Amino acid sequence: MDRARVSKHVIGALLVSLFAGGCASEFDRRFDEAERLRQDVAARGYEWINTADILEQAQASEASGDLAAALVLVEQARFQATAALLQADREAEAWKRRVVR
Amino acid sequence: MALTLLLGSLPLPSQAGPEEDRLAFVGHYQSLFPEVPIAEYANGIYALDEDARAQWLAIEDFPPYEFSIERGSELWDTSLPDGSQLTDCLGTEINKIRPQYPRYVPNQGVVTLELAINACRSAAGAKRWDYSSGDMIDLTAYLAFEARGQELNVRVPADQPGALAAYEAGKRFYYSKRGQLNFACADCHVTSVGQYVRADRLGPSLGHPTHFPVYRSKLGGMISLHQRFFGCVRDVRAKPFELQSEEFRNVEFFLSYMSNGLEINGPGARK
Repeated sequence: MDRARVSKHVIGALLVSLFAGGCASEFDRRFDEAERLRQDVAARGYEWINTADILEQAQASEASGDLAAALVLVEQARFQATAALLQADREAEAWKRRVVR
Repeated sequence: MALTLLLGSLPLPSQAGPEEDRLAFVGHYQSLFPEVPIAEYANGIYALDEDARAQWLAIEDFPPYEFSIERGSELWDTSLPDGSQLTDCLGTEINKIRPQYPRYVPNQGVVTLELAINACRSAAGAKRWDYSSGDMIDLTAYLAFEARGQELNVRVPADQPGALAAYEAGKRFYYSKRGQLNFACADCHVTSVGQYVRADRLGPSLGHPTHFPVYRSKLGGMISLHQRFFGCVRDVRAKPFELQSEEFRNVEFFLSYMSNGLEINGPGARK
């Protein structure tokens, strides 16, 4: 193997490892954001039934090396927690309209 | 237009007091089902559905909850580790025990019968029972049976602001939409009461707490009121609260107040 070819492999391996590291840190960032939102909505009593389960599945996917699936799951959990927070905000007043009078 | 916008942007008016709420609540069902006597609501959906009522009455010939009452009676007579019995802690007039709950106790919040039983057990050196355990459900079934004919009489004392706060929290929970299905308890049991969900009709909340614990045929066993709450919250795809959580105790407080004056007729049998 000539020197130029070796360098190409080394640079390639370096890039792959940098990319993977970047994705992993991107996963961590997105996971932390989704988990924070889930905790916020749980504190308000409006957590949806499977948001925590989805986050657990995301962690398992990331641990098994399936980053693409992990990021999709994190996005699902983030969406759920955001929607549940909107629900909690709306219900702060909306419930009063349903009281039997 | 400007007035409408102004009114629309203002917070909604504060809630009415508990007794005004109760009268409106009862009036709602009366207006929907004028032919149904109020006392009948203690029978839940069987007040509204003749076919289901006939099946239920047939089941009552050989009540599936009888074993639970018998077992509860044995538990009632069992001595606790310190030599005392539950009657020493909960009271000697057995038919008067169940009607005392739920009640508000300062610094404790809403105390349910289950909480009171565990407090007595704990004070006597016994292990606290899990709130879904057969022992807890059997004992509450026995105490409900002994209290048959007594009326629910939940009080929200005016001199205890914590009681009103707990009542209001329960009311808020009851009317708030939650979960992926975006449903409130009231959506099924007030707004859509009597309507079909697949093969079953939605039961009224008026009278809900009178007949628990109940034997559920579909489960082949007894469940508590809080297990019913748990199931409803789960079914609208929200994360359920723990049995005997503050949230569920407040809902029980609110719903029991709404049913004040109805006879306790537990344990019951439901599909």
